[in-house]
Amino acid sequence: MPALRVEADRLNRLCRTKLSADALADILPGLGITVDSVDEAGIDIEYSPNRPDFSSPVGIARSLKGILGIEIGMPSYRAAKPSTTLVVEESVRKIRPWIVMGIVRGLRLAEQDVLEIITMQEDLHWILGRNRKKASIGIHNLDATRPDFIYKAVRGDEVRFRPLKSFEEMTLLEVLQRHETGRKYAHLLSGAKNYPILIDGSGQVFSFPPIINSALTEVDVNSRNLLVDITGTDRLAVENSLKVLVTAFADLGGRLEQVSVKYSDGRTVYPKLDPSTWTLRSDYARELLGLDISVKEMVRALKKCRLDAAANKSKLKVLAPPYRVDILHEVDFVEEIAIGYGYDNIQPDRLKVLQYGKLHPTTRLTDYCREILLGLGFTETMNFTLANEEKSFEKMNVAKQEAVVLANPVSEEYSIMRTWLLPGLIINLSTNKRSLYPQRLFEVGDVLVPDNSSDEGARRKLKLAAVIAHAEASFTEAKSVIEELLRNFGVKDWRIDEDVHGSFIDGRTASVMRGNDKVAILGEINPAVLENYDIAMPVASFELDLEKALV
Amino acid sequence: MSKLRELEKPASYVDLSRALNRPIGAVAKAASWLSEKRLVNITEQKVLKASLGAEGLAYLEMGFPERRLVEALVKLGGAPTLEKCRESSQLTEQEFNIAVLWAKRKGWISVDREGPKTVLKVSKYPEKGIDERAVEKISRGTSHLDELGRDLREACLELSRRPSVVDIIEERIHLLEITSTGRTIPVEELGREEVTQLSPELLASGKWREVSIGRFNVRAPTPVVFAGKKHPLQKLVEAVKEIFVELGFEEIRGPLMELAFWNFDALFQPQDHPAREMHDTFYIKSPDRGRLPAPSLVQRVKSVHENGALANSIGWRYSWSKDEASRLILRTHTTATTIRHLASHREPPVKVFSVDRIYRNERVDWRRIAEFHQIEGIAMERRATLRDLMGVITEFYGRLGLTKIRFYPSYFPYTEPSAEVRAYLPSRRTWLEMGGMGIFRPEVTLPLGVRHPVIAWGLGLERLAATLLELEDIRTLYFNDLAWVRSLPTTYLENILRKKDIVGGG
Repeated sequence: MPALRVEADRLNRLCRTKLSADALADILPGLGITVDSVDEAGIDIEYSPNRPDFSSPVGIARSLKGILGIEIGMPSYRAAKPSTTLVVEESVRKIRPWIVMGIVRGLRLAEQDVLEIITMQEDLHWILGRNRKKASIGIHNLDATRPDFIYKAVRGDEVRFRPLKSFEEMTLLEVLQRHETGRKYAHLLSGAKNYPILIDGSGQVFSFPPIINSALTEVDVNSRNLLVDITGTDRLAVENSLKVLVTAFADLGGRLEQVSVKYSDGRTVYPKLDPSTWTLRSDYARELLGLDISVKEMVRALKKCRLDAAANKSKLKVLAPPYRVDILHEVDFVEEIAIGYGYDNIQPDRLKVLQYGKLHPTTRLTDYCREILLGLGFTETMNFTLANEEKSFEKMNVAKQEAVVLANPVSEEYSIMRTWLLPGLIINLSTNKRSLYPQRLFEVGDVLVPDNSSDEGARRKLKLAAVIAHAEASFTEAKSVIEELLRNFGVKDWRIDEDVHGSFIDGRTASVMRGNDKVAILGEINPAVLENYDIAMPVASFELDLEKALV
Repeated sequence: MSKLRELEKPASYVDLSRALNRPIGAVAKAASWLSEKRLVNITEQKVLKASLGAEGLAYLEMGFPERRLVEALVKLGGAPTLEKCRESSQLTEQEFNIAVLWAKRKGWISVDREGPKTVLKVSKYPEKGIDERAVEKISRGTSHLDELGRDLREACLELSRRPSVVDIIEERIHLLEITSTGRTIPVEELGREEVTQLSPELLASGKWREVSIGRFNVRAPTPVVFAGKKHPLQKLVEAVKEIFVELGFEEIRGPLMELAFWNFDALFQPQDHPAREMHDTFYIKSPDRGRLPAPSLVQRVKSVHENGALANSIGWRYSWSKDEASRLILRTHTTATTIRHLASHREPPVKVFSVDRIYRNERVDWRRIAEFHQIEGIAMERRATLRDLMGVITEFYGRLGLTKIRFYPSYFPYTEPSAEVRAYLPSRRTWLEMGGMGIFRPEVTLPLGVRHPVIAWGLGLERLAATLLELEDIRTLYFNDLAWVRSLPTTYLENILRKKDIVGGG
């Protein structure tokens, strides 16, 4: 989840309140904002990516004012009619087709505001832009440019400009090869023959989206008027990013102005700041929440969530401000009602329909196994089903088996899904080599078997394995235990055959057979395996396929 | 034994040996046998004992040399010369010197010079001294220093400095005291053969009646044994399952390796959702694609993602890929299994749960593991509500002993309204984030053909366990350290949950 640090002072100034950081930290979770930590000065928060409007203190303050009743209902945003035009050339449509623009005038930015804008830009790049792929944001000092603007694609060596954080002019190709930011995002343009640029009325390159802006238009505390461009591969992401960004600028005191964007096949204006209009059935809200609340109460709750609502008999007309890009369905307002009403004020209730509970047969099967093994003095272990290939096979002195192999493990420790339990138990013995002997351990759990006949390509298989480690641990003891298990499950049609297995000592290895099915392997562990795991104690063991052996 | 009872006081081996007229060795052997049976207590004492040496015995018979000197002096007229005296005193040279020394020291004689001669004179009547009485006393057999009066004791010590007169030796004596058992046990039982182990033969033959079974020192250390134990986490899993069964839920189970379709798409998670990225989800190398379910269902899921129309939603508005949905992964939540169940159980009521393994592609450290359990459940009723959901969760944690619960708004792509639950742990004085919940969105339920509200939750198990067990490192749960498992009381859960965390006691 995206994280943000907000100062209590900042929120108090924005909300005209005098709340302590602790008090704020108590209120924010009621908005769905997670508080990570609080100190005297401020709060470290996390917010859900569906609410990109929480990426700035002004955005958080908007919601806070609503829930505190300081300012309720939908904030409205207006933009002046366009006086500037952006022409989108056909050359860019196959590379990075979407672009929107907006102008903000009359800002007086403090140092802190600039920092907040940068943070917001970075977070939106991630949340809505998917790391600049779907949408990337450029914020410029409008006064350093001359209207009107052109968005087009050019060859990599066709133009030169001085990128941000650089002292020299570079061609586009040089930016991608030499500039730090260029190298970082070059993959977004890989394969393209031409690259997108924005030029102004005097022909200057002021942006190379989605890579970097020109140093020419760098924003600082003296910038009064800003130009925002957002380009991308996803129209929705581009439009939504602009809405979230410019409404925040408006709340910072800016006056918004539209830009006319001219495509070869038509013309449109941005930003579009009309509220979205929805219909909410009050019965639907009541039924889902289980709350007997009036339409009037619903309206009030919605307004506390900075929405506008008006009742029309049993239906509500709800208006959402442009930055609420998370609304997909009327159900989203049901949650807003709950938030406005306060989760703390909702009393838990009971389900109405009587049903009878029941455990899965697997749970009962494994419980019986536990009962028997515990009765024989064994202690249960629990290991990960994620496993390491080398430890599962090579160190167990057996050939590599077919296993589910992970494509992208973060940790080298996990490369496959376990196909048998014994390696885990041997590792457990190794872990416990300084604990008192005798040690008798067992595990009952799943392994994963690749299976092409399954839609998911693999099957869970339940296994039971045990290890016995003490100075006189022997095949005999393992065999006694496995026979006791089989007897307890009432299995009669089994026999013991001599077998050969790399993990066990030759001549002291056997399998339990049912018909032609090998259902278990048992024996004394090969000293080579014990040595691999640094175990200086004889070990007898067995592993059995629960479903084949006992069911 | 009988004698001891008669004596009614502690007695030493010597005493008993005399009283019973048996050798000391025999008494000692019997005493140690009785002691093993806890019929008597033997205490050892150290005593100082005086006995007469060779000189001492001679003094007893003939008198102390100084007395014999004075008697000789009297016979010789009271003041003979030294030479005269030495000749006629019948004392040896050595005795004579000692006699002169002691007689002088006791003030019985004086040694004067008269011209060239040395003259011995009797100066005092030699009363019988304490030292002489001491020798007599020792000779009569009272030899323990402790039993003598103070004067006599000192005299003995003084005499021990005179060569071979009195020897003081340290002697250990054993005192037997009868125990309460010893006082009451029938005397006839004492004569039996003793066995250390009751054997099948003794039982079969009935001979056990004739033998006595050796007594053990019940306080002696014994070898340590450990009970076989369930894994601590398994105990919590069972407690959780028990509660949901009590609440009328049926347990379900599903694939660990899962189609992205069931794990994400059917749950209305857009295909470019960050959770689906490689660094959050384990993808499978081979096979990397599975088979999607019925085309009609796939089509409905596709359309709800793309335009939402069939659920009266606006959808995510992007182009949905069948290939992306058929990728194979390790399930990131058990909700994948729940949604499979729901797809084939579309009519209410449905109440199912699972407590099973899920996977996240995390770098493992003390706070995070890549594989853990989720406590999952859903309930579908014609009129299931958010309040019902809060009710189930409150009841669940209440039965675990966590009675202080708070709900907060939260967000999941597949639920609306959504909530997060926190529980207060009085034993740790902290609120703990327990998990998420909500009502499945219409975009989730309608493509499956489910037309009624489904309340759902996914709660954490390991974090609860780690907090309850006060583990700093969550990996401890899967480390299987026997010392730790053996040290946890079988009742650990009850100890933690039911006692500490029920306000006002359970």
